[in-house]
Amino acid sequence: MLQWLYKLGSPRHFYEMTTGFIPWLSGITFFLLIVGVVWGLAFSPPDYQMGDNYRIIYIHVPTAIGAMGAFMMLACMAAMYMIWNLKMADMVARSIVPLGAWLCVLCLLTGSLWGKPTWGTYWIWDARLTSTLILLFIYVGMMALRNAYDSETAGAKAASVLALVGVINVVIIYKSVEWWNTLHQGASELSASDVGTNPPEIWIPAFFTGFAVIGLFFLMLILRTRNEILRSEQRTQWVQDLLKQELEEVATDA
Amino acid sequence: MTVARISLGLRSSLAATLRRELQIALRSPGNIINPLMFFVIAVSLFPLGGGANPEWLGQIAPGVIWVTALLAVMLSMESLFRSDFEDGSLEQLLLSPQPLYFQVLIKVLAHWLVTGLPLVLMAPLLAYMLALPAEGYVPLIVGLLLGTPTLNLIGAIGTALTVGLARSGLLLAVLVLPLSIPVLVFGAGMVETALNGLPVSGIAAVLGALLVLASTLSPLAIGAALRISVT
Amino acid sequence: MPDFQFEGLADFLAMGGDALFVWSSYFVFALFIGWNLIQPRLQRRKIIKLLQARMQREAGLQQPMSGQASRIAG
Repeated sequence: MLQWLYKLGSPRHFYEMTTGFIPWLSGITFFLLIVGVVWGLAFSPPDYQMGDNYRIIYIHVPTAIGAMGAFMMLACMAAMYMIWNLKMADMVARSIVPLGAWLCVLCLLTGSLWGKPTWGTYWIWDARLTSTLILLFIYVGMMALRNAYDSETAGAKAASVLALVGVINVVIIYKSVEWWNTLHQGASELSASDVGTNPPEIWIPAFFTGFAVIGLFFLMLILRTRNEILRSEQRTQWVQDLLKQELEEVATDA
Repeated sequence: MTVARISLGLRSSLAATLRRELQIALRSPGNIINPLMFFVIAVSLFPLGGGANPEWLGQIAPGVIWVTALLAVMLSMESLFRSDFEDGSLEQLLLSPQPLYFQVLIKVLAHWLVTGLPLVLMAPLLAYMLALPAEGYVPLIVGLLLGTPTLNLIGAIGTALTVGLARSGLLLAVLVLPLSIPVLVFGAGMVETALNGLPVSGIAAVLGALLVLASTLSPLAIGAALRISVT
Repeated sequence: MPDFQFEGLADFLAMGGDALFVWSSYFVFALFIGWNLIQPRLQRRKIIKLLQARMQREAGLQQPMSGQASRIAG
């Protein structure tokens, strides 16, 4: 098992191993996604107070968890890069950032679309939405910082420092906004438990969509990281061989 | 023949650094005046833009003063490392045998004494101009006293990351402002809690904790960022 | 097996009056999935084409160069 993890640290092995992963990861993920979405949309009982619009939580909650989880993973990758100089860790980190930003945007959009029919407003400054908004700012800032450097290594290290500083901060930001809400008493907590006195069966599709979003995240991450590997390892022999192989395949097809 | 004894212990080197930083900063009075003027002018924009109704001003005063102080600190961060970077003394700092951690901490302290502390001293006057009720003054001052050094430390991380880049002003803002939000929330919240008649010692403790966290951890990040920027 | 909660297709699409909100959310979700699965594939094709072009350029540079060098030198 440890050897397997160790192998993942090499760009070439990561690329070769993930080539095999993709088909079955896609299969499982789409199965979970379809079950979750169909069940959630069509077979879950409607909420007593909210009617049918609560079905948005089947997307909203997984994306919220995904955005935060992605940031934690990003911080781990940043630490691995800074401590052990693992180039692979930085390549994964680089691929996580746009995905994390997407998940934040989705979380905010679905949160707004849920908020309007339920509480009458598209936006509310509760702890979760506000922290997600700030997380989005940090993700975007990280991309801007990495690109501002001419040297790729310097940009990678700077982005790693920001990730490590950010991960400490994100927890503090969440708690501080939570406290701020108790102070202002104006914002009602967009809590998922506001779904009210409802049977626990409504949460079953959420398991499916939750794992589906995690699976999708890893799938998208693997696809992006593979591209990153090709780009940054272009001078190595194995990539050159791979390119030649692809050329020959295209030639034989044509 | 007597040889002058130069002590190279940590305390004396830090004292020397502090003295030098203060001397350099005080040489150009703009370092003190510019952030202060920004603070005063920006705060004045709010009654001009939103109307001078004292009740409304008093309500927004904690938030306005805190946000403007944050922006003023952030704008003043440029002077922390930029000139050292340009004349090569930043590289010397990284190469020196003195531990970078403490050197950085002292530099930020000196910077705060010159740019942050004047803001704290100016705040009561601005609070009066914004019709802040009497109970808010002490929490405002204490909060800013605890909060502005933290803001300086967080801003220093951003400055260290961007000092090697051209046109880094807005990038600095994008990086630093989200990280400064907890200080803002608790600082402004402290004043509002006091205005509601509730005890604020707990919130002051949180601000103190944030300061301790920042002063222990940020020099590590600043040092790492400086090494990235200078190479 | 839980029951189908709606009266029929029209009722399902109406989502109890909140159709706009629910379907917009799922639509945006589908956009996210679609874009993030397609874009890496497109990017990959672009990168491979670019790298192949570079590889061929560099291979092409190596041959005529020796001829030119001897002509210039000799």
